[in-house]
Amino acid sequence: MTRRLILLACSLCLLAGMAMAIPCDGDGDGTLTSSELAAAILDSLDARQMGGAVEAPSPGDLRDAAFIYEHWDGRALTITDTSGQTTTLTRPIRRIALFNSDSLEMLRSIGIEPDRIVGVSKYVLEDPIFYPEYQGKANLGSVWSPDYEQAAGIRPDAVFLYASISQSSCDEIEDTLSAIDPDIRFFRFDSFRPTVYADEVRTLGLLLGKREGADRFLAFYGDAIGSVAGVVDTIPVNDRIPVYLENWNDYKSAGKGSGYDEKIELAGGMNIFGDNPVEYPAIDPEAVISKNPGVIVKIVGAGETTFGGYGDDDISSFERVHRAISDRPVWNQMRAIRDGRVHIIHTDVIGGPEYFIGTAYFAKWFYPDRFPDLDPRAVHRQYLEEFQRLDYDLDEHGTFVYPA
Amino acid sequence: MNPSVMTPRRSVTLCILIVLLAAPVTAANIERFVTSSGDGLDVTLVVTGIPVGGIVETLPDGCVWKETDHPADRTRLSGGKAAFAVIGEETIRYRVQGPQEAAGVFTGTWEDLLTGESGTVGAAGTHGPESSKTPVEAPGFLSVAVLAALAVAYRRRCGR
Amino acid sequence: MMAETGKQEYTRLTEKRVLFIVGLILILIALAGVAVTLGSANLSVADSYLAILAGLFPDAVDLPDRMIESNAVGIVWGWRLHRVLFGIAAGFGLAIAGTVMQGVLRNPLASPFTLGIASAASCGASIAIVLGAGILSGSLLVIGNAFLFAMLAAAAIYGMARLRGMGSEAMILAGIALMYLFSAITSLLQYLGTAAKVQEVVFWMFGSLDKSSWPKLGIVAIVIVAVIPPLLWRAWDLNALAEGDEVAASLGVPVERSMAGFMLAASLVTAVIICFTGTIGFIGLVAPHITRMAIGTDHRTLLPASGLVGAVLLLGADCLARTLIPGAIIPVGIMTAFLGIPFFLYLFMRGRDA
Repeated sequence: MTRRLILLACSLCLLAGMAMAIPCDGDGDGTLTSSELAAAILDSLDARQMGGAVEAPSPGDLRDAAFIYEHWDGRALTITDTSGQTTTLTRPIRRIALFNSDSLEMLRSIGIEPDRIVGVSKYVLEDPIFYPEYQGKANLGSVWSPDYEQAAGIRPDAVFLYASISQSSCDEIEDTLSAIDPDIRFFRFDSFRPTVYADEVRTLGLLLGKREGADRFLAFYGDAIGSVAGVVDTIPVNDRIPVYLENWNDYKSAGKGSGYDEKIELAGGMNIFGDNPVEYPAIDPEAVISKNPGVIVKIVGAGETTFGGYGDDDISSFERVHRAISDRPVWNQMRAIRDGRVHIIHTDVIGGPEYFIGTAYFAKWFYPDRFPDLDPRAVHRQYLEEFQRLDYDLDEHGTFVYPA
Repeated sequence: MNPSVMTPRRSVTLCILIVLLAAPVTAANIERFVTSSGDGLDVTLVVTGIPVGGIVETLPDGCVWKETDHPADRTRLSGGKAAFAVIGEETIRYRVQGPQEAAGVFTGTWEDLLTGESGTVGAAGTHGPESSKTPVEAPGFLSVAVLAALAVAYRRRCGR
Repeated sequence: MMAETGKQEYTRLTEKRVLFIVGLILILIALAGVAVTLGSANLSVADSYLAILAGLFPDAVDLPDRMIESNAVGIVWGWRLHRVLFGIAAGFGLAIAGTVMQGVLRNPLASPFTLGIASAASCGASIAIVLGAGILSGSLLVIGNAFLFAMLAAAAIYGMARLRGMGSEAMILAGIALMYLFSAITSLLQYLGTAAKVQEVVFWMFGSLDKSSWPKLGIVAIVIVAVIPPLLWRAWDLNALAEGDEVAASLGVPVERSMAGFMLAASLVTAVIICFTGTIGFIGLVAPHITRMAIGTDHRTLLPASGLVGAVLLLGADCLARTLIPGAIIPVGIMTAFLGIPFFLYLFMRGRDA
């Protein structure tokens, strides 16, 4: 045991020394200049194809050097993830394992090649319709029940975890995997929170050499968000429409600081239970009547309402839920129900990295007059075709909102 | 220099080259154009879609290296071969002294160091005032070539 | 003549006990040998042992490429080995703690669960997970809280029992009251917490060996080595206590002090184990019963044998949990709960006290 610990310590020191150096950095000054890169390329070509006797960099080192020169300006990259952890990299990341499926979707948006992903969470493997190209990847389990042997066996360079939820589970995964394989780097991104969404896209683009893809996606995302925010900012606070949001279980709303509360606000609505400190408080039906919301939104896709989304083409379950709300005793007197302003929306487009599509739907429902040209469906279509590169026809498949 | 950002001037240059030779443009590719000049041959390598890579050109027998416009620290000559380190360049020109018949005998390989792809340098054709042995593209295909070139340039400008 | 048959019987009984313990040790070694080869990584049986050797003697062993590529040594030494050893240590400790509690309280249904110690640990873990508040910070947040609350519960039982007099009924009543109190707090925290935090709490309460590591194994081993031998030394006092407080006192056993000492030792061992694993139930309840049925109630052999039975039970449950559903790892606490059911049915059918 002692001998093994000594060996481990020596390997760590050696690796640390090696890891700190940028490949092909001839003078070791931490910057790979074009002439150093050119020399490395020529040495490699010379040794392999011209019969030269020069000492050439390995193909792996050369490719890493090319990446660093092209994407990181020839220098080591220091990035800070959403949890505030800073990492310095002298090698690009080639093998990625993700426990966070939202981050996988975000990576797909910026154009990550499927080959670079070597392990995904079980939720990704359970969703072949949305993640067809990742079905053969290793199954890492989930953040709460990880499969360490699979995670270690695929030899990832980087493991992606959540930043703001399940911190102790993520800490444990990091500790345990580091003990098995000290070379793994850990990154924590949320990929579903509006406040850090754009920053995360930018950081991931830089980290993975996909800056152009990130910029292209941010332009699209900024457009979608900006078209809503621009109008919402002009609505005075007193004129904001009161909204009752019910989550997937009956009579459970969303309280202060919950994701849905934030999205209602982004769309210019006012959550009638927005000052409740519990994330999903059980509310009194009479309180809803007395607060008289202008719009009622119900979320489906989990808990008591596990239907809908990308894998479900049948809108009838949405219709049933809609009817059930409208038929609630005494509720049918509420203006929201009388005016037909009850909407059902699926978690796929309001939770997770597609939240901006759901927020656009909210805006359209809250203020139809102020958003005459807003077409959330078109935004969704462009997101799927151009950025998620999915061959998915929104007209034929998927149930996300009702009424549209 | 990033070849996937198409400024108008670059796209015009590309269109001209495409029209001249009616060769289809693929994602990563290198093509060689050989023209004769004086007592030797001018070789132009057109690099497409390879920001960082390497090229090894094998000079035909009887050809002697003269010069190149490629930076000296990115060129290496050894044993009848010329190696070029490509870092952002889109065209590489070099000149050799040799017989006109050697124009069709150049061979070369390339590597894209960002994607790991590799291939052979495609000989797209030759042009020469005295040369009658090497075939020239028949003018009948020119209109098709123009349409193809315009289509490709439009697609590239809209972003991939 | 009578003395002869008595001595013969006693010798036979002793032989039976020794055989039982030796048999258990052999089963345990075999089970450990199997457990080390189980896992979702693609390692054959030979590969697993090769990896163990490679970790011990890195220069002497020449590893095939496939094992280097899949980091077989890292997986076996960094994940499987300490987990197997932890399972043995945890099963051993929990079983002995359960045996001690059952002896002190003269109640065959006493265990860390029925005394509220496990509920207290869950409550401490919930506070750490949902509120983020605790005595230690970072990755030790949940562990520190779970341990603290478990010891608080033990102290509370002791304190409450002292008020009412150190009877076994007093301790059991106090334990049940504490169990309800801590369960209520845990439930309240689950209601207030976000969905993700509740999921974390629930998974913690399932109990699993996934969180083990070499340092944690070291801590548990140190506590066991420090606490168990003195317990074994004093096992005869447990025999006396099992006869009743007055009988024990008349035999010269300092009843109150002994009870307190035994309960403290059992609580300490339990707390240090479940703060790392979460609440693994039934080992402390079932192992003593099985052992008593096999070799009787003399605590001098009951304690170590019961510990071995606990180790076999927990390690066996873990092996099952990892292999029952390919690709999924069932938390071992769920598996031990399932294994406890047939045992209790059996007891029920037999209708006899152990």
